[in-house]
Formats: sequence, structure tokens, C-alpha cells
Amino acid sequence: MVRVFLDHVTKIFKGEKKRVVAVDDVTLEIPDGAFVGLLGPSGCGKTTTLRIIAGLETPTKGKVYFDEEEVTDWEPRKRNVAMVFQFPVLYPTITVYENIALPLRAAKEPESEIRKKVKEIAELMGITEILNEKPIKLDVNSKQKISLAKALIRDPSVFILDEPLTVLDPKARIELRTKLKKIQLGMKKTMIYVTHDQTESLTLAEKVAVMNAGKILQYDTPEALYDNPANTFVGWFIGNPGMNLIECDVVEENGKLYLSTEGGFRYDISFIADELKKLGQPKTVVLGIRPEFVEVGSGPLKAKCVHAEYVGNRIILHLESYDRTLKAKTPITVRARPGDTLRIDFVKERIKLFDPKTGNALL
Amino acid sequence: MPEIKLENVSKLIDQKPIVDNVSLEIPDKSLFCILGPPRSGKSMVMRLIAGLEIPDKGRILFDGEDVTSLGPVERKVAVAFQDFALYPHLTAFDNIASPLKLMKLPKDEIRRRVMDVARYLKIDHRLTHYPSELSGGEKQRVAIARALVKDAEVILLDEPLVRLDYKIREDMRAELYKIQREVGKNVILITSDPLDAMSLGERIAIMNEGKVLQLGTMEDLYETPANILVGRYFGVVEMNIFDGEVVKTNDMISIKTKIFETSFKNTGNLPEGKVKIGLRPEHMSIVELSGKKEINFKGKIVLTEVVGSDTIVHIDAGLKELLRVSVPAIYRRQIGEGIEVGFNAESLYIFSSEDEKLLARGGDLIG
Repeated sequence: MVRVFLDHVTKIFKGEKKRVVAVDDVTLEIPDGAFVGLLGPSGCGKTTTLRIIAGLETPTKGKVYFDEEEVTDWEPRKRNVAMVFQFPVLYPTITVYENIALPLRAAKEPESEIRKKVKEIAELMGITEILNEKPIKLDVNSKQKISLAKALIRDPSVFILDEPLTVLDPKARIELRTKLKKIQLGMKKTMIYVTHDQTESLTLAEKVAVMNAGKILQYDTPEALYDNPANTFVGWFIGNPGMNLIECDVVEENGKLYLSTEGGFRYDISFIADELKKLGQPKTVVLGIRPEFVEVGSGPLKAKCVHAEYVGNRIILHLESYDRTLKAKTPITVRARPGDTLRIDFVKERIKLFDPKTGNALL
Repeated sequence: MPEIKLENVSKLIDQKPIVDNVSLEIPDKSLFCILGPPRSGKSMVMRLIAGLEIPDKGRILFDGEDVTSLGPVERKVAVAFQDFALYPHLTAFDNIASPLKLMKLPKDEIRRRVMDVARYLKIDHRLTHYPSELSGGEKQRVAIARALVKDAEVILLDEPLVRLDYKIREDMRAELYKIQREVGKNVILITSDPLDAMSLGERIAIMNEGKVLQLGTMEDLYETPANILVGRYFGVVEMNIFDGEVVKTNDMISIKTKIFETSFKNTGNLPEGKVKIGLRPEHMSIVELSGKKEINFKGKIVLTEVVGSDTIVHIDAGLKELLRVSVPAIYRRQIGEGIEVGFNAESLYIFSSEDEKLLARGGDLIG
């Protein structure tokens, strides 16, 4: 296993008309034996980043290290990276056993060793019973298990997973997530998991790098991404639904500090006046508050309910508060209906403030 | 602006009933939702309502008038298919105007009607743009404008949100709701996502294998699922179902399962013997987070699945299937760790192990 280090990596694709910066000055360290997620919407640069790690693309600028060794120009084969893709890639007409044994055959390992290893991996993935079948007859869940077995058996330096579980049915997805987690914990493989789905990332990875527009916006634990998003994008992208982002003026009045809008939205933030002063008291900020920390019932703000979305025993209320809109996620016992006027408050310690220009977190 | 009625409607394909004796009443000016897994017959019901297919049996009534043999135009019905299927090479204006051009209406008439409906849907400032330049919500409005421009009184939406990214879906549901309120027409939404139905449907019909399993409001379906299938399907996280047994002693009734045993005073009409127990993941909680409940049991963590702001904890409690427990926070634990789970007896569902129908709810037995 190795530590993977991307040092100021940039990748620019030059087309006939357009020049696209797919990866924009990315620096990322993936410790030896860590399980790391690369998360972002489509087109954010995550796939190009993993292709650079695998050696399928050469960066335009920057360097790639495996441990202390620079591998920027190494061939994929030399890097010993195993990849599993969204759609399983198998030889349909040779047996499952032969498919899994293939990488070992290529490495000219002795037959007895191959048999032992295939048996081990097959047990681990729960596919012992189908070793003599041919992939063509199997469902996609089994096929993806075989792909994972085939990748694992090589004992690669780095294990790259590109949305391998999206095509599976929900039950198989849970089963394979559990297996992956167990394997990673047991074998301490360096694993990089690339996906657009926050659930996959937050469930599997110890640390997640959130990407957008070619840049890594935050590289942190799931809890930190949720509690302290580094910018408005991460706040919005993580969570269901994402964080409310409300642009406000900061106004001082009678010794108190308010978040305020033209339409009459006014919220006392005197409790963080000192911290804001230290930041030079910005004139405008973006208030970030997660829907689950908007309290409904009493509070200083009026809000009109425009839509109530039921999600089991909770409701997501879509609210209009003066000239701003926001969502509240509340227990079902709050029986608000569209048209109702409510009073709302925010859980004070959960209030985040962002810079409206850069989107970066202030507090 | 009709009230729509389906009376014992069946549709066969190759002798097989795709829609099997379905009766429905869809109130005027409502947002009605037909929910079902793929191939449940819901799309065929939509096509029958639209007049794109004619039933083999039964009648379809609009405001009491038999329209069974009328086509879509005569019924004043419009359909917006998956993804809203806009023409990418046409501007928003031309997309909306396309059905009118097919009707060969004069140019100024087309212009007037497109402008009217565009103003109504607040997209009149976006008409020169192409679909790729429009936001998701705007595309939705263009597609609905195209449906409305033909003077449709009923709008059928076939899986409108299915292919959208889940982040965009967060706002699109509220947007759809708003549009329906604004246009005040009968909107019928066909979907396989229970969350769409929960958040949008004033009334919901759940379909499976060509039949309507249950018809009711969100609360009806969620609180009193008619059978195991509705219980499992209509929820945020699938309901847990496992084996149990009803035992009567004196004037008490006991429910025994592998993981717990509980007694009720009110015996109700529950027959003795084998049953299936249902428990919603969101009605259970983790003892170390929320304290003990009336009934508590232990298990082992299999996976803590972090779904954004919530976590689904998958637990091996010695049952055939893993149990799912919903936690409204990020909660990460290691595989194999011990865990204690609690719930209150009122949240139990008891289903027949034969026909899988709901026999009683814990709340009813408490009395």
C-alpha cells in the first residue's frame, strides 16, 4: 500500500473551440491505508483526478507521488492501481474463476497459489457458489462482486472505485458497502472512492474531498463537512436538503448587531458581534443555517409556509420570510400547512456566516 | 376542469391484464399522484386517462360524461413525458408553440396564446432562450406551458423528476407544487418515487401488478398501510418486516418475536398464531442517543449509512433480514460494535402472514 500525493496538479483539455480546465491546482494527500472519498457533481473534475492518479491522464502541471516516489510519468501498469468502474468489465464467456484468476495468470503465479487466492477472495465477496458459472448468465450485482474480487486479488498499491455501486439494487448496495468497509478496515488498503452521491462518500470514507469546478473545496471528515462547511457550495451540497443560504446586510443599531434585508428580515446576532468585529465587520454576509436547525413555533422572524413536503415522520417546510426563502426540517408534530404564517428562530450555535463574494466561511 | 372517474377499467396486452379492474376518482383541480414500481401499470393508467389507449373493459368519465372513446384533444388532456422532453434546437417560445403549429393556427394567434401562457407561468422573459440555457425549474415551466397552450384542462406528468440529480430534485418538488397552485388545473403525477408522492400528492393511489393497492391521503398511506407491500414501499426508508407470533393468555394478548416480547390489554380482533411484524426505521431510535424506550433490544452494527443529514443504521439483531434504524444526525460507528435499539409499542404494525394485510397497529391495541 502507498500514500498518494497530488502536488498542485492541473489538467487542461484543449479542444478546437474551448479550453477546459478540468482539474485546477489540486493538492491532495491520501494517507497509506486510508479510505478517501472524492465527491462532487458531474463535470467537477473528480473523474479526471482519478484518471491522473491511475496514470490514464498526464497532468498539464503539477506532480503525482506514490509514497516518496514521483510517478507523474509512470505508465498505469507500473503504478499497480486497480480500478473498478460503474459498469462491471468482465470476460462474459470464461468462468467467474478464470475471470478472477486472470491478473494472477498474467503475473505467472503458480497454479496452487492462484487456487488458494481465488478461493479466499471468493469467500470474502460471497461468490464461492458461482465460481464455475459464466458472467453472461449473472445479474449485475454478482458481476460487480466479481469485478471487485478481480481488483482485490492483484493486491494493488491503490484501489480506485469509480461509482461501482450505483447500478446495483438497494440490497446489494448495502451488502457491498459493508464488504468494502470491512475489506478496507481489515486489509488497510488505500482506497479512493469517486462519486456524485453524498451517501456513498459519507458512508464509506473516513475523509471526503468535495470538488466543484476543478477545485477541491474542502477535505474533511463527514462530521466536519456537515458541521463546518468551508464554503457555501459544501454547505449546500452536503445534507438533505442542503444548507439555507441567505444573503443579508450587517446593521448596527442601538448597540446591537442585526442581519437585515430590505424587505424586513431582521435577526439579532449581537452574540457574535465580537467575532465579527475581529473580521473587520463585513457589510454583507451570507447566513448559512441547515434546515434541521430552523426552529418553528416561536422566534423573532415571521415566515409564510408555501409548501410542506412530508418525509416520513418529518416535514420539510418551504418558507417565505420577508424577502427571503428558506427551508425548515421539523418533526411531523409541527402541523404547518401551506398558507400558514409561522414564527421561526435559528439554533444560535449552528449559525454560519459566509463571505458573499468568495463564498468562503467567515464564522 | 373535470372530475375524473375510472370505473372498473381493465387493459390487456397479449391477454395479460396490465391494468386490472381499476376504479379511481380524481377530484377536480387537485394534484393527484399515481405511485408504483416499474411495470405496475401506472403508466398505462396515465395513457388511458389521456386517451392514448382505449380500455378493454370499464368506463372513463370526465365530469360524469363518458369519454372512453374520445382522443386526447377532445378530452383536453396534455401529457408531459419524462425529463419534459423539450426540443433542444428550439427556443422556449418555439417549444411552447410547437403543438399550435401542428394545429396550423395563424401566426398572430400562436403568438398571443404563447405569450398569455408564458406570462401566466412567469417565463415570458426567457422565451428567446434554448433549453440548455434554462434552469431546471424554467424547463419544467416551459414543458407545462406547452401542455397548457392547447387549452388542456388536465395535465399528466409522467415521471417528471426521475432523471434529475437529487440535489436539483430538492427544489423541483416545491416548484411543481407552486405551478399546480398557480395554474389551478387538474395535475396528475405518475411516479415511482414515494418521496414525490409524499411531498406532492393530495391524494395518492399506490399501484402494483395492475391493481390499486390503496388510495388515500399521505397520512392514510403512511399511518395505516393496507398491507406489507404498501408499508415497505411507502416510506422514506423501507419498513422492517419480520416474523412474530400472537399468543392469547387470559385477558391479555402477547406479541412474541425473536428480538422482543410485549403484551397488550386490549385483545382486539387479532387471531392467534403466526404474523408479520412491521416497524418503521424512523420510529426506532438508538438508546445511547435517545435513551431507553418501552421496548429495547440489542444487536450488532453492520453499517452506518450516512445519507447527508441523516444516518440509516443497519443492524444484525439475529433476524433473517437486517434491521434499519433512522437517526436524524450523522452517526458513525464501526462494523461489529454492539448497539441497543428502542421503540414504543404504539409504533408496531401487525400484518397477516397469509394475505399480508394489516391486522392491527400497536396504537390500536393500547386502546
